[in-house]
Amino acid sequence: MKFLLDILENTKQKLFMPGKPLEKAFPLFDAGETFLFSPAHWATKAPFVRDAVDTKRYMSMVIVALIPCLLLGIYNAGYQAQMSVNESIGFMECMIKGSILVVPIVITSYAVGGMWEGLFACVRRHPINEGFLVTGMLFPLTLPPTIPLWQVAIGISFGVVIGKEVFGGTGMNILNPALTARAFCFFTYPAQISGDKVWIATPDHIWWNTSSPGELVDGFSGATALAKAASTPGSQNIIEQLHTAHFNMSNLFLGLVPGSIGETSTLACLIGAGFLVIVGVGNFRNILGTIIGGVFTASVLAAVAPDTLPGIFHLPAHYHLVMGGFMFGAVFMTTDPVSSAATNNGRWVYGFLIGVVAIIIRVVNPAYPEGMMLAILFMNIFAPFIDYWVVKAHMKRRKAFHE
Amino acid sequence: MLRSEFRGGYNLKIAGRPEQTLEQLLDIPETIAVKAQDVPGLKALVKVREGDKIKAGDVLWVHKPDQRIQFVSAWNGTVQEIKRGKRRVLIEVILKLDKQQGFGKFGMINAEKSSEQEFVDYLLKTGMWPFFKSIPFHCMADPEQRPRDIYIVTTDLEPHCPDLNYVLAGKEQKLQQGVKLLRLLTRGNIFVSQCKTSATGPNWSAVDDIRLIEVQPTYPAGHPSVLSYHVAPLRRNECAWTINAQDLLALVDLTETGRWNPKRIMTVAGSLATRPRYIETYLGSSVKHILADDVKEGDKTYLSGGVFGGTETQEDGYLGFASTSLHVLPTGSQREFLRFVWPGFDKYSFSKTFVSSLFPQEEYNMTTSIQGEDRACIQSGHCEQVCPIEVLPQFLFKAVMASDYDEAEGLGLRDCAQCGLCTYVCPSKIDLAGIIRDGLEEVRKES
Repeated sequence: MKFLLDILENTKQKLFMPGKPLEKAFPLFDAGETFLFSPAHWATKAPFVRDAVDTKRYMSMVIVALIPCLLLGIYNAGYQAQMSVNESIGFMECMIKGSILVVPIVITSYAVGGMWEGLFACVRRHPINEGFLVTGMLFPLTLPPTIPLWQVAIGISFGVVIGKEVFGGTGMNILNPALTARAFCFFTYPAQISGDKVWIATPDHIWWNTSSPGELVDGFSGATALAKAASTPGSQNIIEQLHTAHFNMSNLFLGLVPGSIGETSTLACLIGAGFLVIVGVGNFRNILGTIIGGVFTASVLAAVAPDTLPGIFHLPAHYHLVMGGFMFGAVFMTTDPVSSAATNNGRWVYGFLIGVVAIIIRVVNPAYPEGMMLAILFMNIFAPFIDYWVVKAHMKRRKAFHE
Repeated sequence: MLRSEFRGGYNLKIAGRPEQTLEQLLDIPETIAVKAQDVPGLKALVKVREGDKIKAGDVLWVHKPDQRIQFVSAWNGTVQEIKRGKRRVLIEVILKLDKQQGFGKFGMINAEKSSEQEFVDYLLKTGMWPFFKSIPFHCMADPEQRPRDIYIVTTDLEPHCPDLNYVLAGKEQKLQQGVKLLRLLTRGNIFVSQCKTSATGPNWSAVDDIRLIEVQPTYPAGHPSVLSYHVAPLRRNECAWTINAQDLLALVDLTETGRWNPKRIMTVAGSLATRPRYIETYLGSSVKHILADDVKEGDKTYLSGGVFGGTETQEDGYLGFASTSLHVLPTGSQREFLRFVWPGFDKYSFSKTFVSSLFPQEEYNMTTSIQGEDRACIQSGHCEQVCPIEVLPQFLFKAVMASDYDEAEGLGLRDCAQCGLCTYVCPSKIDLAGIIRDGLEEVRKES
């Protein structure tokens, strides 16, 4: 590796040092260099040894945890598209079709977001933050597979610039950048991110598809399970109604249903959750708190709601957990350490309230079938407030101890 | 018996553990240094000049704000060099030693017959005073103040620093004498601590007038700040003094014989030391005197003291004022290719983000590398998990950075033990302990 180091050092001296032509782009060079080679910084005051973990490793763990979601998301996007036109649903066919749909979205997200990240790094002269690696992957997974790429580009731009960089970069942001990006798309271009037509890539969406006859199968609906539940009248049995629309516990859990790319599979989310908790990057308090909050609210609503209210009021709590983006949000969005509450007790409260708010939006608000995104963004705003009270209580305890 | 149990703390599995075989290195060295650099809060006013002949008992420098605090030479010799750093801050005074050493006539004192003030004056005159430190501010004790409690440091769990159980075993009588002396300074408790898992220690039941605290074997369990927080928390405007047990034994020798005892049992440790071991040698010895050629190849960093609380010294440098450990670590100048991608079988981490947490090794070769780049705080919460005194370090350091000292004190600024673990674990490589230390210093100046 010595020759590579030498090349890098030479390039740096010739092009990127102060007074050299590309001086302004030094943060870009620096990011590339420290990506390839760990920097030779050593301690000159105590403590003289340091832990091996850094933010690069820390953030990479989230990417690893997202791999099951990404793979199952790709498979499911292909599977749904093939199903819709009654084509072969072999594993390879689904993966290929899914990749063609999903990979460009991920690439667009990374490319455009990375461009902004680099631009800000050069202008503000700060190093490139690794948090972007996570944002760039989380955002595409919250989008429907049919989203136009230009919307991905605009969305991630908003998320990175307004959601993060204007505050000073990773660690300084108030909101989760990936969800900020999604919220922007959601409110700006609702036609491409909500409704019944966007979750499955039908021939209408696929301009390059020439072989397909373009005929949809009989009974094709394209609605998500949550939309179906929300439109079911309360007088009917909600679970039977879901069954007739081909939603049951097992396909919801595995994620072979229409929905955003990464969020459909509860199984993949749970694998990711297990990994995050074991490596200690995701805090179990956030995840469990959210689940408890969701189960609690859904159970209470199901117990007290009269039959005159829509069917979703009567949806059992465990269906809420496997439908829509609940689990994906609970595992990957609430655990974002920067925008979450930072105290252990605060994390329970933060998670619990996310669960409560998400279910309330889902059930009570007829305009939004899914409430996870808004619930998390809402609680992001409240996280410092929760911490404020937890820290106040902590200080009171300390004071009492010293008197 | 009291117990101090706490969540947090962390034992470092760092290579280079010293063997428990004592080697004596008691030839009179050619040169010796008295370091000012690692005496916290010191402002030195130097009283000698280069080339001066000095005898044991001569004053080298005094503490400017309170000139009664003297730093005294235990040696006969010549002042070879007065080293100063930035803004002429005194670093050390290097003495060239005579062949004949007597360790002076400092006078004796009897614990039973002397008064508190006589003892304080004796400590100040003989230069033993700077061995007392004061918590909460981790600075030199103030002769005007009296401590509520005194902690004799008898457990030092900092990696590879001398196991004081091993050092103190069989010294009960002298310790008893030391306790009698300390009794002159306080009416409160005199605390000692013991950790069961280390070598057989002194029989504390044979020593009267102490309170023994049993501690768990986790760094920094034996630290006075940690003991104080868990066993006898200080109120506002109170302080406690601490003295290392070895320094106390030297003080006992001084009071009994009138001769200064600069001998200490020390450790040579670190992965680049060929023979990590226990040695008996003099305070302020040179690195060369201790190591001779017993070092391995490579880029080396020499530490006077432990990895968490020590200071850096050089190959031709000296040990610190009261430091009893010499570490030789590899300098972290290597650059690793795609470091954050590999599974990391040899990466030692508090977090579980490397495979090493599944297949832990006995010990790890650690360098002085910071192992990452400075970033903003991402609230990983690691600092909170290792903090031995239930502080929320990520809130505390932010309060200090915002100069909100009321908030910082509420969050436990004064309880901080300066153990350095929060800095050690931080994934964003923020020097929390350093920032908190600056905050403590600000508060000390104002109070």
